[in-house]
Amino acid sequence: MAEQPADVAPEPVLRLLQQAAGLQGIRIEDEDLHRMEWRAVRAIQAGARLRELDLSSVEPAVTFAPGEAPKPS
Amino acid sequence: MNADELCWLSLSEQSALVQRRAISPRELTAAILDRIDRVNPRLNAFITVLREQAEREAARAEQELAAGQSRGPLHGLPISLKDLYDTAGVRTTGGAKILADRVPQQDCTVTRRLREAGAVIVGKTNLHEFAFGVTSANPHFGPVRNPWAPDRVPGGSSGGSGAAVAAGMGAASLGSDTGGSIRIPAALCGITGLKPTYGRVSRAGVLPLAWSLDHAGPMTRTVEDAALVLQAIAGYDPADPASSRAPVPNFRAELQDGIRGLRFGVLRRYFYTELSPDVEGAVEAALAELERLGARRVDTELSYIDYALDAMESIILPEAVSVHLQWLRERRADYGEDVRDRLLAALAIPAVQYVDGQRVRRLIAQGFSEALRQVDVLVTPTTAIPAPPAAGFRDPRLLTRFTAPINLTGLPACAVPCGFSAEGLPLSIQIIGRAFDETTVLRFAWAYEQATEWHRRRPPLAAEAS
Repeated sequence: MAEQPADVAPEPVLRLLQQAAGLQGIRIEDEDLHRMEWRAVRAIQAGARLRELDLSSVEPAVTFAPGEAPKPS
Repeated sequence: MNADELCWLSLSEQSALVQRRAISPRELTAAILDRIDRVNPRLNAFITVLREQAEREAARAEQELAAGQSRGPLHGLPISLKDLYDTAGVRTTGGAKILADRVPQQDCTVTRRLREAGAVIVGKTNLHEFAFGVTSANPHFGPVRNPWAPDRVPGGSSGGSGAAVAAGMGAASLGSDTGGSIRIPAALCGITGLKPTYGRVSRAGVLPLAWSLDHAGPMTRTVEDAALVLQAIAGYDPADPASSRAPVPNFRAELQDGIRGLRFGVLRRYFYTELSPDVEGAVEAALAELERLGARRVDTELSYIDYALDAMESIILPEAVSVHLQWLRERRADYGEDVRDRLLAALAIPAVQYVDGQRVRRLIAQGFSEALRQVDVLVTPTTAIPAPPAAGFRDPRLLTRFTAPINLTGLPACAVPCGFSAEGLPLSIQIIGRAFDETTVLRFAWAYEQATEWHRRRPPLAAEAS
């Protein structure tokens, strides 16, 4: 169920964060990285919980027809 | 009527007096500016006070009235703007050191429409840095304090607007709302806050936080005033790619029609759990009051709502970091720690998670649409707790849990005062309506407001400063 902590190990998340930041030209020092750990892990846990759902027939909310502005609802 | 009493009039009361020349725009503006001088040092609600410019605008409004020209109900009325609405020639900081000296050359669409409606802009209000947080504990311009208890947070990110309006420093302010940033400070400061439908009010020239979730809207002491301000700022704007061509109704036309025979939905499970006892008691009493007013209560549920905050996190973070990427590369040291860490941590989110968030968002929006086919509005608490202590507050989800899901849907939602905690802190209900049906949301809000006295109470600070 949502809002239960999904099983996400911190180390791979922090490596991913450091690499993703590096690709964007941003260096994150180790001391800063550990301060961000809970935020990064929580963000990835949110994605893990979304994957509990069967989204096979669901399109993203941002799809829209040509000439129409995207609307979220 | 003395100057301080002028400050506590609603916009519509001020308007009636100005239109029949019982008070002048200059007199009214001077009263508000003087009150800001006295009260703001204790609340830190303003980043910039526009005394000279406001005096000039008020004088011009007065000349126009003398010449028989009225621009409408906002003519000559003082209003403030959250400091992320662009104002020509006046710095617009976003509450950020990075933008501390930024002076836009043009007004944003909302500012322009307010000026065209005759409003006098008295200042730019303080906010959470870059609108990315709910405490308004700004590391660069100082924290905003709650007028009901200075050791409590005012909510955010439009905390300065909430504190200003609650403390009589203007009857209206413009806020912005990405996950609750209008409704949360409205709730914690004891005022009305309206997040209109996505696309109803232009975001052009408003500093973005997350494009697909950002809304602009009014914060006022009465529901009628929220309608009045919305009327001035609503409508299609080609400069905003998400702006809607939906017709703009007269938002005050049905305000006083009552709610007898209308239906309101109560989403018992998600929105009525983990409430503080004060909130629970006040909201139950508010639901009973709506029934007493003749509305029919329908218990209903929403699909997928348990995933709303996960979808929110998956969308808001990548959009926000995209806005900030260049500044993160070049000005990282100039961010406050909490916003910087939140943005940097967002870089860990894979693209597929953002897309999944948008897929779940569609499911959640569909759930709300289905619920709103059975009822005219949905009624929930605005926040699960009253204003928390500023020191040591670390769980923003207690404030965003009920507001953020509505940003995913784009539906209109209004926070209205519904009581006070045992400690004397304001409490609030949230009324959510169908897309582009602000009229029914406001009708419910007005009926409830008129049946209660909560909106008439003034914070203790108000009496001390008079």
